[in-house]
Amino acid sequence: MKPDRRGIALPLALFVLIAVGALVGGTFFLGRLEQDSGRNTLFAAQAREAAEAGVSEALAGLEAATLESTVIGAPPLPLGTVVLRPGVSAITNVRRLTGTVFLVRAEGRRLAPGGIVLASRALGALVELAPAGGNGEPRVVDRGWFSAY
Amino acid sequence: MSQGRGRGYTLVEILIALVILLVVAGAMHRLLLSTQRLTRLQARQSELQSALRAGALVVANELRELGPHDLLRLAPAAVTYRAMRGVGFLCQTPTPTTLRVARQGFTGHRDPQAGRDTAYVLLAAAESTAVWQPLAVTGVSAGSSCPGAVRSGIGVTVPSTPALLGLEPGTPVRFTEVMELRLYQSDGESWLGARSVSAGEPVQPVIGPLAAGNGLALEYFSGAAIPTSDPSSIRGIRVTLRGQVDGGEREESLTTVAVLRNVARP
Repeated sequence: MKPDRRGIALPLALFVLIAVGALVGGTFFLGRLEQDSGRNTLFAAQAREAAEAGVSEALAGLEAATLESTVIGAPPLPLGTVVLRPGVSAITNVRRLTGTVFLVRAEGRRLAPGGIVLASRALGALVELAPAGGNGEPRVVDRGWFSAY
Repeated sequence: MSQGRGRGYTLVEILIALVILLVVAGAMHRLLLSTQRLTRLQARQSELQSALRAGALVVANELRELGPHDLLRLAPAAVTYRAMRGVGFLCQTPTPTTLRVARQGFTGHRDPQAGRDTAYVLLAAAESTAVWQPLAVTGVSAGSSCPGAVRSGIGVTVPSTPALLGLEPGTPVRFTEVMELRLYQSDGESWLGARSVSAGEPVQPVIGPLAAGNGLALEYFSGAAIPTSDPSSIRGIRVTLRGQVDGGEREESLTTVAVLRNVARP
């Protein structure tokens, strides 16, 4: 009968491979989590930028006549959609709060190619229809922006 | 019986085998230790990156809501400001001492708090633009009711202000709190801390530990991106957070710019 000469090289190599593999796998997993977290932060930032662009765009084109056509308690009046680039856009509207104060709202969205919403952020801006200036036209005055949750 | 059956290993063979085994085991041990150390370092670095990212988000979200008039004290590693805590709309004409804010449409991380927040009510003026009137919040009733379909509301008690009597339902009300963000030391480590100045609270840690000395850097810029210390001309704040892993073996930093949204608001 021949002596058992198999040794422990194979089990030892397997053990080391599994241990190193587990450690390397853990590192990759952490990296993946970081990547996902960073991507979500980016999507949220894109949605927020879209909302900011939406409010800016809406305020820039807002006319006193548009505001005067709204009624207190009525559904918001759509002001249009601002598209920053494919998948990043904002929907804007305005509604009358009091006789002279209005709320412009923009909801910025970051969409996946399939149309799934990856992130959305909303911003509001308070607008006042101030008494007429030198040209006899009522003035649209920005009274402050805020994050809408 | 075969010739080799009873033959064992010689002492030299066993010693050689032992030496080889020790060398191989030693090499593997070193490999495992270095891999484990790298994994731990990566995990700590990853935690630090997450903390810096969370801190940058918190700081930028706070500062972005401000206007130049909300910046009260500026320093390279500290800022005191009037933080936005919520916006709501009156659901009925107020009395001189009570505002009733509709729960529906109220936006903010929390309800207003007495002794901590200030309410700013937009008072209309007949001949000019409206003004934001500050009123200290002296009492809050979270379960207040509103008339009509709105129903649920928040009752806010303020010092007697006759000018409130003429306000229409729908008038906006902002709630603010004076806050301070700064780098502070605790147990020999540096932390990003926040405290409510208006509530007189002690500083609380937000994230950390950060790099000592330069863990938080705030730079104030005008509209033309020129550094300025004049609060009225500030349009953006660059926030840099720095942290270290393993006593400075690796350093991470994150910079974000908060552009002030409420530049136009008086």
